[in-house]
Amino acid sequence: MAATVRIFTLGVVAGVVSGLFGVGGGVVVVPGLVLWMGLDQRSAAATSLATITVTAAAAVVLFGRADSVDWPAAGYLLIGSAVGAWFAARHLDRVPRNWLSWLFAALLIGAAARLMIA
Amino acid sequence: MTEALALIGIGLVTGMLASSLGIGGGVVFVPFLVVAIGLDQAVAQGTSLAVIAPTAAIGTYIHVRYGRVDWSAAVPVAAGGVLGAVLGAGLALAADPLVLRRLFAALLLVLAYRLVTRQLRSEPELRGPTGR
Repeated sequence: MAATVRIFTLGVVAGVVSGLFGVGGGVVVVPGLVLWMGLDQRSAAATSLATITVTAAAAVVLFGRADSVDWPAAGYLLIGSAVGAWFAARHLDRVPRNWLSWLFAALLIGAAARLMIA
Repeated sequence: MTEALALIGIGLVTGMLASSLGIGGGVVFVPFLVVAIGLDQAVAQGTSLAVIAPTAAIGTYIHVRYGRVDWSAAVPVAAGGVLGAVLGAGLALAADPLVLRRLFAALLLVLAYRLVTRQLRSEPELRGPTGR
């Protein structure tokens, strides 16, 4: 029972992050499931993804009702991201993961700087 | 037309990043939509979530087939998640756009810091003979 309350709370925190920032919330859920529920990294990622489907859908309903979704832009992004995710999953061994991580960190810092000054 | 191609292109790169690094695409989608496409912070976040939901659904479908989802954990997290998401979305829609944007930038810096420290810790083993 205590464990259920604890991970329900984890869900609430992840949901607030997801709705407030427009992200999945996996950054909160994955470590939470590993530390609190003792799941291994792979099933934590899978379980996190299942919860993201539900929470993102709930948040989209609110943003949609407030007319705060650009549906054509979402459609184009989805075309690209579906193909990209499928490609990387199939050729995971050939993706330079280490190099990608550094590129991604640089991208985050650059984007943060651009958002701060604008 | 150019905008459509740019969106498909950034979706492609983000999809690859998300799939190989195990991250959500939102941290890439939102700044791109704000800076390059010129959407409001709130609209960019709503659009990002509209891409994340179906993408996560596809990934979940594959994971469920492999039996990797722990339902006893997923159900309470998702229940709390819906409550939190409604709260968070309400806050985002009511917030001052500039404040929301600064908060988002701070989130990016936290994530970048975590990523860099993790990279610095794990890099030696990645340089093994089989590393590329």
